[in-house]
Amino acid sequence: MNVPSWQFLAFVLVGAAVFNAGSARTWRSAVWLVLNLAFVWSFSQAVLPLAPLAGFLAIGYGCLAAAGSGRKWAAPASIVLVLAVFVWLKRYSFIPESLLLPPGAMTVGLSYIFFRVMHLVIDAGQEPGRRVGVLRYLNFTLNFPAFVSGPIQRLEDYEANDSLPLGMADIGVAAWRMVLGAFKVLILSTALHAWQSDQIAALTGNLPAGQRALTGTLILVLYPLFLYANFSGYTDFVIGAARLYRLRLPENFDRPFSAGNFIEFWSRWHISLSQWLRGYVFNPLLMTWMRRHRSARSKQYPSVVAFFVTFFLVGAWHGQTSEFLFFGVLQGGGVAGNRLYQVAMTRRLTPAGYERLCARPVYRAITRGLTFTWFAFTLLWFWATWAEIGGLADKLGVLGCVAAAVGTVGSASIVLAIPDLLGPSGRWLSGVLGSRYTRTALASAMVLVIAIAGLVLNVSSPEIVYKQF
Amino acid sequence: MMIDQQTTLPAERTSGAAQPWRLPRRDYVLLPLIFLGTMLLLLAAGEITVRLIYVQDDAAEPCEYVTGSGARYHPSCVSHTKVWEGPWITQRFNECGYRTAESCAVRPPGALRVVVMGSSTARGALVNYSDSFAARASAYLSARCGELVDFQNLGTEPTDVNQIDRRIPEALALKPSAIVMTIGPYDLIHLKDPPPAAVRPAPERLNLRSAVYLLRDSRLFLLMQYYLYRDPAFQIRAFLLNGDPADYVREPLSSVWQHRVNDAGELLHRISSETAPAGVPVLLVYIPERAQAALATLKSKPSGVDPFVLGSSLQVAASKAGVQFFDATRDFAAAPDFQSLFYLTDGHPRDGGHAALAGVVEQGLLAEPSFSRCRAYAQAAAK
Repeated sequence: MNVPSWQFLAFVLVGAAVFNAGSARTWRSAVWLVLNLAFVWSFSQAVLPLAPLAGFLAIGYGCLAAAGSGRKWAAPASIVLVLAVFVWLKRYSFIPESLLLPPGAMTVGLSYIFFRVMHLVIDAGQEPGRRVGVLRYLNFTLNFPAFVSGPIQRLEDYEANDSLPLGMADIGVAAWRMVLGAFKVLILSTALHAWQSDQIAALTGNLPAGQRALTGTLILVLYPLFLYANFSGYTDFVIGAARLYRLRLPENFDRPFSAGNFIEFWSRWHISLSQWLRGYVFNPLLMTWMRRHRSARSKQYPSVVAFFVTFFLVGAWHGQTSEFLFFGVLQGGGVAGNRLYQVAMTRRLTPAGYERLCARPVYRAITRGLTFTWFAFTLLWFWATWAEIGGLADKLGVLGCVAAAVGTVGSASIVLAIPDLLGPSGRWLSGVLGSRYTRTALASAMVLVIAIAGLVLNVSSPEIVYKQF
Repeated sequence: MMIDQQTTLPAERTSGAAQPWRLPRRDYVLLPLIFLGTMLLLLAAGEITVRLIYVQDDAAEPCEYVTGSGARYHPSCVSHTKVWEGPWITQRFNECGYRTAESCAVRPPGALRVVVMGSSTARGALVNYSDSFAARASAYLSARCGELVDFQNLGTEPTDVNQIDRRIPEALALKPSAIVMTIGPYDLIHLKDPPPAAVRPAPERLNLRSAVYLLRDSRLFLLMQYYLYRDPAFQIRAFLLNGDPADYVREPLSSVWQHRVNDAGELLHRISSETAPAGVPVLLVYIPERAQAALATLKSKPSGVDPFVLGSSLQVAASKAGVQFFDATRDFAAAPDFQSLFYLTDGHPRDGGHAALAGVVEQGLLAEPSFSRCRAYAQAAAK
């Protein structure tokens, strides 16, 4: 079942009606489990392809019990086992083919289940004696609105937000998020994807230099916008859908392109993933380093290393090929480089001086442009192979590549500064757009466009990119 | 302008909120009204935009006038029409009011001439003259016979089909070598409609039915239909949902359709009773609708569906009347570019459809004894 789709919408609405028909906790837990299992079943509709996923869940539950037993070796061994099984099931390219399962296993949502299981196992190791029942475990790990591509949620956060009141206003907000999400995925991301594909097809070595630079700029700029529309649209939709089940999923995006540096960017982009890694990789790494190196000089750089490792993992997690490993290096390198720059600038200008510099509008506009451009550049290894990247570079030439980079920095700096330039008018505008009356009108328009595009024009949208991870 | 804080949605609600956040009562009326208002506004704006982009001009048919026995065209008249999904079309009528490039003057004895009769497709509606099957067949046969084979086109409107027999004396006065008549499901459905001159226009009243017609005639609706019908499979599904208008592809034929076939048989009898004494053969060519032609392309057809069942029934009726019958359904289904055969929403054949039709007419005429000299000419030319 694609998310979002008419089929998924019908599934959500019918399921929500049944779920909310009874108010007993047992009823809702049972309906939730049935819906979760039905949703997972919709991807394979056969038992055998689901067996590896079921096995992973069973191993995860066993590891959770072992880690919580209080034995010293149990928690580390459980973590290693869960990680190893995950890597094996995800068919990472460094594993010999002969050791892998035959292809055909259902792996949709596996990465996100992995984060939930891993967090349970780690937490159980830290708090021995904590128990999670099978029903809770299954309903948390298979949570169907967040099954395909997250957002990633910790059990405590999930349980604190899974029995919220549901009034007409909440349903209205949920509907708005679903319409907005569907519009982003089905219309915006489809249009941006088609536009970028056209630009790639149009790029030849024979184009005049100016046009080549413009085409290169568009190829670079359009992919992050497409990815944002695609993934944030999916997230909007599932947050809205989950709300109908009285559940609040965490936000994954917070105006990421308004970030003034790459560290800030990663606190606004795929927030649930970066927060998970911050909690389970960055913080433990930093703490370990701080415990071992207590000199004043060494305190300045541990975060650089921790940042690199954490965001290398963020990148490398996305895929099993060398392109994704390099994507991880660029993410880690970008964040670590950013941290080094902050350290150097703070030393040179003093913390207050650096803060003043960051507050300057022109500086903020340029750093926003640079942040966007760096992200767009790193994404080349996200959506293209080495050969394709080489082909693009050949067609653009050295000057074309430089012109495309300059064009991206320049256009991003100007466009992303528009909200600042609007000043009080921008706040007024966001107030108008935040009104539920305006949102109702906008949602009506979006529904009409989606209906025409989907039912009449039969537009086929690209898949949710993060579904494959 | 200050934004009323009451209208702004809370960005984040605390997880511990015990009571649902309540909407003011007015919103239960206002929000649905905004939804409906936005939809109507966008639909109206869309309709206007589509009308500006896709112009249609078929209301004024300046060359047409209506007589007691159907539509006629002013002699030596020129008109320009455009259906929204097609190009501008020029229609030129000769001195007799026929859509033909050649004069309708009586030709020397023995000259090859074909009279075309039927409704709008026979007239070549919505295609330029050179693309019409009559003009194509005329050009092909003239080359094949080594002499001009002119086609005098008496085609008019579907409501006139049942009165074609009344025009047979006019057709025979042109001294034709053969008469080619076209017929399609639409003609059969409207065979017994009263002629336009006899219909008194009813006063327009807005009711549910007229609102549905208004919606179905809206350009926005037609544009949507156009995009949907690009997929022949979708059109087949939509077509088969129709009742009576689609029953002609279901076997056995419904009693209503059997009546229509019988009516057509009676018409053919009336026609042949006048043409047979004059020794002029009549060729009846059946033109399929797009969904029917699309059905004919399917290797596996839906249960109970046969796109050739109407053609077979008409063939029986035609042979009883002594009229030669040709079903063009297979020729349309075998055409290389299926999408070019029909206007998707209007339904008339486009130039590709006329090309397929011309092939059927050419082969039918070449088999006629009066065209035997064309075979001899072609053999001599080949040597």
